[in-house]
Amino acid sequence: MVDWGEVTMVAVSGIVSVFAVLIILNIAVSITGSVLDSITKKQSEKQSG
Amino acid sequence: MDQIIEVFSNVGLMQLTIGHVAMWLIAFVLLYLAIKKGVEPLLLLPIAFGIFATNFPGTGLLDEGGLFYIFYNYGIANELIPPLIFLGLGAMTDFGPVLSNPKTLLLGAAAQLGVYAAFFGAILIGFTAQEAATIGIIGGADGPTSIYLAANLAPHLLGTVAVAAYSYMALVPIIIPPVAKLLTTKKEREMIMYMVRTPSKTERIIFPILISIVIMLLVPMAAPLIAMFALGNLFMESGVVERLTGVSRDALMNIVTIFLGVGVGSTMTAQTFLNPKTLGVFAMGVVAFAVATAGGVLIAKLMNLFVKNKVNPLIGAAGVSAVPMAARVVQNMGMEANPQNYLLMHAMGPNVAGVIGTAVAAGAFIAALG
Repeated sequence: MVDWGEVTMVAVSGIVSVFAVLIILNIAVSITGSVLDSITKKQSEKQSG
Repeated sequence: MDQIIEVFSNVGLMQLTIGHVAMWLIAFVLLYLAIKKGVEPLLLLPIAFGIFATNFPGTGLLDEGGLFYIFYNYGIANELIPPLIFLGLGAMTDFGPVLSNPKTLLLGAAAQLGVYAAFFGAILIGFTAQEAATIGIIGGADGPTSIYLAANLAPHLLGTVAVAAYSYMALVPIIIPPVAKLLTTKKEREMIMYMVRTPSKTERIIFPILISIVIMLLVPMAAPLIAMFALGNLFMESGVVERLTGVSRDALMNIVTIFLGVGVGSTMTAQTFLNPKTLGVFAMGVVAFAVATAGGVLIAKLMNLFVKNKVNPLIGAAGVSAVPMAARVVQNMGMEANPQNYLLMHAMGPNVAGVIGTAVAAGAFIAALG
């Protein structure tokens, strides 16, 4: 006898984990990119100024 | 006289069964596909020979201490080889497209919906939750992850799942186009994408550390695969350990591929393969692939409703992993719709994100069902 409640919980927790990980990575990568871009921009402004 | 009869009764020929011969035929079909048709030969050839050699009676290859027993138990059951393959994959994966356009990570997640659709489907046709999870992961189109999960949750299905996963990966050019075409208009397929930005070397070095932190904190059971994947990528991106990068993606990868293939093949005896469950695995494998493709395309279309820089929905289909074949199929479909359309680099984003997504899905299954 299949326990559909448990099966659904396994699937939902899995889908949430996958999306959570990749959404957080998306945000982290975007922030890292922006921070590094602004550091590079400031450095080049300093050098040219 | 008794001694002579005993000697002859121990000869393999006297113990040969129809099941053994049937497995040889299956091995020959796989050898044909690998050698003549070029279907995933690096894996299918050693798997096929492993099946062939295992299915001889009285060889002791699978008995405790036997050669194939050692390959399987110390390499696969102990979960050593799949993470080593991930080390090599990390050392050859360029995350540039993901860093350039991070929202493509979501398309890698969307394609995992196929894993869960097949998980439900497999339970509906009578598999246990552990078996269903192992079958569902075929939809991730990632061989080492499928083998890793099967070794953890359903070792009796390992050979079947591995053969199904690698066979369907070779069928990506046949499975993806009809599903992706059905869900997109010609206008959508024609859409040209432009490179958003070029990631710096520092970003490339930070990324493997970032994925380690995020994934190992949120889904610790995915750590063996992700840690080695990140290490391999760090080898490559750091640029200071070229020897380690080279050995990870060439020599080590090739050596462990031999052990993996033979080890997987050795699990496929007549008893484990010639049963109705095998048909169920192959049937659900197609469902997993088709839904994974559809999931990626549909989420790409949904994403386009909210973002400024729209994506060609076809690249969502590359979220099924199968690196880089799925991205190449997307590239061909894009060019077919518009000869000026170069989607390969854009499709590589969801493609490599799919590898991460599948490893996370496997870790979540192990945490819930292991």
